[in-house]
Amino acid sequence: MNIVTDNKWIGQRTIRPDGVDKVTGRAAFAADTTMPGMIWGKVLRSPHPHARIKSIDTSKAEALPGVKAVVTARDVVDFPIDKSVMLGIQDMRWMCRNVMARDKVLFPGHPLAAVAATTEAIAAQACALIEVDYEVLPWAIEIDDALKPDAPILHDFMKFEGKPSNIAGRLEVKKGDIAQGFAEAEIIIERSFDTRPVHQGYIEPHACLISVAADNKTTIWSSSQGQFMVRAMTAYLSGIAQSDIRAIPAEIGGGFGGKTIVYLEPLATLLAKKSGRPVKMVMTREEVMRATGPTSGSKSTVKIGAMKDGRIVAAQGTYYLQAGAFPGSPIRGAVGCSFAPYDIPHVLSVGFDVVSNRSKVAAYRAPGAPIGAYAVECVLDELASALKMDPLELRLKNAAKQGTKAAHGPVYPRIGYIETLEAAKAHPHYSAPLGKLQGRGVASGFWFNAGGESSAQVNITEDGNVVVTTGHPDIGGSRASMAMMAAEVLGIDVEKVRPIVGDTSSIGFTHVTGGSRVTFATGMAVTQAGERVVHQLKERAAQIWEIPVEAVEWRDGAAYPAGSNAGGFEPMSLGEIALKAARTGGPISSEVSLNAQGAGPGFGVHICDIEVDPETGRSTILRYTAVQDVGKAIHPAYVEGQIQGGAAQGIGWALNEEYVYDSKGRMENPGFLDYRVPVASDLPRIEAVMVEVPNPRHPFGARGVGEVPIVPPMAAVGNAIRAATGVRMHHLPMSPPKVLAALDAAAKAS
Amino acid sequence: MEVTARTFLALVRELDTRFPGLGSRVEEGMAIAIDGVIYQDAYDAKLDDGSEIYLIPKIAGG
Repeated sequence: MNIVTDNKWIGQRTIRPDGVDKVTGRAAFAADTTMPGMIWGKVLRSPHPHARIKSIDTSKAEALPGVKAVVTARDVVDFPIDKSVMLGIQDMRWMCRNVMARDKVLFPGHPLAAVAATTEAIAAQACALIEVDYEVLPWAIEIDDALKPDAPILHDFMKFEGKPSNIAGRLEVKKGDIAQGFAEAEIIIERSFDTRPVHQGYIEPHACLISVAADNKTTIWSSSQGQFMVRAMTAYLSGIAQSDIRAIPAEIGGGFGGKTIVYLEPLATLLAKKSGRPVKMVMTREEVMRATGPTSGSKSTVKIGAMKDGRIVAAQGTYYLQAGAFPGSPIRGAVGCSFAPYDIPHVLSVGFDVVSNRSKVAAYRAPGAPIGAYAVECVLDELASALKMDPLELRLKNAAKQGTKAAHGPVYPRIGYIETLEAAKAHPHYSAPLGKLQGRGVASGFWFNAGGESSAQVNITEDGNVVVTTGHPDIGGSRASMAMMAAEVLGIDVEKVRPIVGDTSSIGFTHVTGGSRVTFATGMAVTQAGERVVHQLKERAAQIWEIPVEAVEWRDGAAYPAGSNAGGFEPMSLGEIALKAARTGGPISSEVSLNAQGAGPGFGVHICDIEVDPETGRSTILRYTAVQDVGKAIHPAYVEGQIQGGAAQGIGWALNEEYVYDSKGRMENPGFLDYRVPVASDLPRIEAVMVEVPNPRHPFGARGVGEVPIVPPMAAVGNAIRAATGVRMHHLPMSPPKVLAALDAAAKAS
Repeated sequence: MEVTARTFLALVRELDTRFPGLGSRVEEGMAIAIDGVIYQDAYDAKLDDGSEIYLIPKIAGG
């Protein structure tokens, strides 16, 4: 593919189309929606981490004045355990049991029933009247507890190596001969690490408003990362045909992967169907933290063997990831991404998916990759130290490049990892002086990036403006970049392009906003649709001028005769052609649906300076630079925002965030006061450095950028703390009490 | 492991014959890399003599 390089809009910092609405409060989020006759839904949730449901009696709830409907598991479509039903990467067997418990509750917060009533207060009161007879069972939350020989088994059907187990699956990636590799190595370092579950921390709780007519015509307004995903999952779980469901995406206040599945929509749909009234459901923050997927906690062991000159010859990783109540932890990310930045001849990377009694995991920005990278990049730091090598030089010596065969299968196309390392090494931050109690750490990160199905429409209005409709929620500035790509192709001012997000009835199928796929895949669809519109415009001009279409060229938003032989016609603008659309053949528009393949992988290198207070164990980030190969930054401000946001989330994961459980297995910190995410006053300005190595598979060279930046920070921070204190932290988060305890232990040992 | 297949669907059928259930699992839930190129959905991918196939879980993200 020839990449367009002579651009007017691509690479500019245009005004964001959603900015005014968002800062003035006009943006319509799901919780802002109302409908005449609307009633409220609430969920009854399990207080126990593990219990058999002996009986549920909803009669008192149903009799409460104001209650219009009650649903339990018997209202949700059942997917039998013995047959996998895949919707994308989600198995509906687990989804149906996650949205409503059947037979057993498997985590505190697991839904048991849902009530719709005329007010939220009545719905909550009715939930309290539902009588549940539990047989409380032993539980296991931590990986170690779930893997003990006498661990309580969550699922009777689950076996591993022929025995009842909480291991749901194993994934292995292999290259070369690992035993041979370690036999050759002149230095070997092996370390173990663990991380705690952390939540995506989106500021907007899950919310939806759903109406179901008597003939099953269903309208959904909800906060999600994909209206087509919402339609499909709601259809599967409610039994209503997808063609009867119109899912309208509200503005979304953050998702980061946590909104690529549904929690409320199927319940609200069933309540709306039963009651005959529109039902609104909005989660509290506590419900979000207790009952929606965080990412996995983990236990990892990484062993790396190298020659004395720094060449890595063998790399082995074993990763246990917490899935929560049902299978599906992101072992693919840990196993596939952790060694991916390096050209290593012998690799063995194995992941285990471990179920335990906490909420089912959901995707979180490069799922699984930060966990693997934390372990690998810390071991590489120790290797560099042992070899007395600069840590970036060690990475450069082993860097993957075009033609490198990655252990997980692909041969890399044109990639920018070496350029990213070199940019980091040349950055003034890397050579800036450090003071007492201060240390610098570096780490790399990789993410696959995805393509997939996307649809886009480009419509020319009668007044010569353009509407670009795409099929996924905008969580990272995609409306701006789609408008810019359309403007570039059409050769017009970007202010004449209005980007909108269509619902499931107004645009073709589009996969979720996630996987860092939208600028790549939907950008491709928008570009192709724009090119087809340009051809139509040329055809109309040719018709008006009565010349062959081959004699017309399009540039700067107008049709021109292609050379003097074509005729001495004055250029005809898009607006002039649009005015004559009806007379020259009808509407000028195009819709493209495609399944984009060939998304280029992304690489990042982070530099972190930290100061550690030896009295309190508190770590203060002094300076943070995130360098990343972005392919081509369509809108640089949005790309910088993605890099800064991902880095901030990774820093929170590294330093403070964790789930704290009480003696009954319940989360003790289900709110932002006690679940400590970084706020603006915690961090310095994160400098985002964009390295542009264009992706040859995209018309403007774009690569996905949103997920790579969360991958390096945990190791960058850990390596900086080690540099500042001499102490390696093997357990996340590296919160002040833990750092202080590690410093004290090190002092005693020495 | 060596298989004889000219297309992705032929590969799926061959895998199902040798390991019942594996082929349909690959078809529904996995991406494949053919000679180093990843296909999330590989129905129209062609396999040549000597093609190297990696089975990879479908890539999804956050």
